[in-house]
Amino acid sequence: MPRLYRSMMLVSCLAIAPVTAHAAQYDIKEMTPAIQQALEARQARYAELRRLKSEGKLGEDNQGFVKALSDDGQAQQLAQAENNDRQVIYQAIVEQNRLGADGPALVQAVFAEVQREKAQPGDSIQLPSGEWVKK
Amino acid sequence: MRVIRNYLSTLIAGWLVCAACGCTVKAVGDPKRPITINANVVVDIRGLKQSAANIEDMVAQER
Repeated sequence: MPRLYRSMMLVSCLAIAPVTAHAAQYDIKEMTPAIQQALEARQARYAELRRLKSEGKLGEDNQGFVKALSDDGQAQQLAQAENNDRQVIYQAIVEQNRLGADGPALVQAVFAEVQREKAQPGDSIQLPSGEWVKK
Repeated sequence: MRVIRNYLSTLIAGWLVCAACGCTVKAVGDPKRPITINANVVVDIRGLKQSAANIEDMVAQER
C-alpha cells in the first residue's frame, strides 16, 4: 500500500508541476509603483468598462486594447485611460521576462486572445482577421 | 659586438610584437565596426497565456 501511495504521489506531482511552472512563468516579477498603479486603475475602472461593453460602446480589438465604437466622449476617454494602463502592463511583461524584439506584438496578441475568450455574449470583439463580431 | 647584435635583435623583435598586438587590438576594438547579436527568444505561448489570464482575472477581481 505505501508503495502504491508513493507512486500515486509521484504521478500527481509530475502532473501538477508543469501547470504550476506555466502559471508563474511570465508573471510580473517586479511590482513597481507604475505597474501597481496601472493594475489598480484597471480594477477601479472595470465595472464601467463592462457597462460600456454591454452597451456596445466599447470593444476589444485584436491588439489587446479596447476601442471606442461610438462617438461617446466618456467611452473614448475611458478607452484611452484603459489602453494606457494596459500598455504599462504589457511593457512590464516584455521587459521583465526578456521576450525580445517580438515580445510586444506577442504579448498583445496573447492578451487579445484572452480578452476574446473572457468576453461576454453580446460584446464586440475583433478577430485576428480584423473582422469585428459580436460574441 | 655580439651583445649589441643580441640587444638589437631583441629590440626589433619587441617592436614587431608590439606592432602585431597593436594591429590585432585595432582590428578587434575598432569602434567604427558595429557588433550585431542575433538572439532568438523561444516563448512558451501556453505559459504566457496563463499569465495573461491571471492578470485579467485579478483586474476583474475574480481571484
